[in-house]
Amino acid sequence: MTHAAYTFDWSAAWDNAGYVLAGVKITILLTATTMAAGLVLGLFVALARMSQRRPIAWFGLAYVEFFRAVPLLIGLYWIYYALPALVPAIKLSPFAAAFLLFTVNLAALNAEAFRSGLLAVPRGQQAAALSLGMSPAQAFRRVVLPQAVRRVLPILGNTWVGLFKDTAIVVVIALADITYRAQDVALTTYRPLEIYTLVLIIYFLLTWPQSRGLERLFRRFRADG
Amino acid sequence: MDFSVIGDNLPFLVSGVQTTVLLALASACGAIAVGMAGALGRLHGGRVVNGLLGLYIDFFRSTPLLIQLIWFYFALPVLLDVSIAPFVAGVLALSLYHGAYFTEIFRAGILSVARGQGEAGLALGMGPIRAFRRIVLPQSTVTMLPVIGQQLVILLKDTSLTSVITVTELTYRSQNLATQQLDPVPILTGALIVYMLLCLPITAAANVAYRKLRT
Repeated sequence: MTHAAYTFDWSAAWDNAGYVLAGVKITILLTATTMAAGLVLGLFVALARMSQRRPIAWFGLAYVEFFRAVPLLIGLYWIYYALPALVPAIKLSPFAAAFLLFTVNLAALNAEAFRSGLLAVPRGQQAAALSLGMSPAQAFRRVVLPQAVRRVLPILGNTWVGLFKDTAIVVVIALADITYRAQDVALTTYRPLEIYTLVLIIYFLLTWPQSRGLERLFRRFRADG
Repeated sequence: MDFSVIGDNLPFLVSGVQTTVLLALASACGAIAVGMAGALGRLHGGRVVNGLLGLYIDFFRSTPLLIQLIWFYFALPVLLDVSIAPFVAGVLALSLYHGAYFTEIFRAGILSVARGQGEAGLALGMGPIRAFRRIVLPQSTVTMLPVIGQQLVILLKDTSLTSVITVTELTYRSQNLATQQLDPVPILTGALIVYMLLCLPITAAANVAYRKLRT
């Protein structure tokens, strides 16, 4: 059985490349705002998880385990469709729903990153700082925290790159990101192969330099040992 | 809250859970096979194979899984002039996407076993394949178990994305039913809980096996 070889026609993809690429604004805006909010919320969850009080620590653990087990897509549907039905006072725009979903999800990931970073600093470091006459707050700020940050930053870098890709799911609630615009163009031009290949290339060119750059950056000031 | 809508549509939803599980199992097998072949290729395939696999990994890890699914379902059939069922496109994309991650997991795991172990097997008269299968692989598998478990949980959650290419799995059916019945709260909450329940045994099995087998 022989098939006629497909004849590529990139004109549709090329003519609409600017329109598709403009969707990256949503991607960047969503990634940046949710990362910022997810860092703050994640810090609180990490502190809760490491709390001396059992119920608070238990709440932190439950939060992390819950959000790590929920698929992003079903979470997005839940926030966008079920939450307003449950609490009629809440009205969410697609962007607000996506922001909320990625923030609560990121907080769980970031909390674990913070916790593992703090726990990885040897206890002797704090003890040494205290024996030098620092107060506990000083010891934390000057000795423990800088070492923890060096361990946490590479994890946060990976999370950022993952988030950048994951935001593509907002297409299902009609946020006009790259994917949404590509679908739009593919439907009107009947050139799905060229359009979606273009989208893969766009994403690769946007994401790969980020992950490579972050890798290089963090290798420089990696904590020894 | 009234959960009766779930009971009324139970067979419809259960069928979705079955598809989700089947899709996850098929894709997990595919991803692990790709990952093992990829890791061996990177470690023993020479520079060219190693370079090509590096490109494959970078490409699949630098693009969203959702776009890959869409590409395999909407673009690949045009290129090959064949029709591809949503389920098949889903298994293909999930296997290749997670295969890229498994390649790196397995490569790191194999490298973590001391070289002397494989060499000791060779010294005992085993062939390279047998030494790998009997000595290196079992040891590396144990150290990798927790990471493998985590990756499989991510894979299971990622199967929900196939709803976008109309695989009639749990997310697709839940979302359609929620829209059609105008009753999203019980249906979507139920789906959420089912996903959590499906994740639990994977993590638990990986952790139990790790604790039992760790030396």
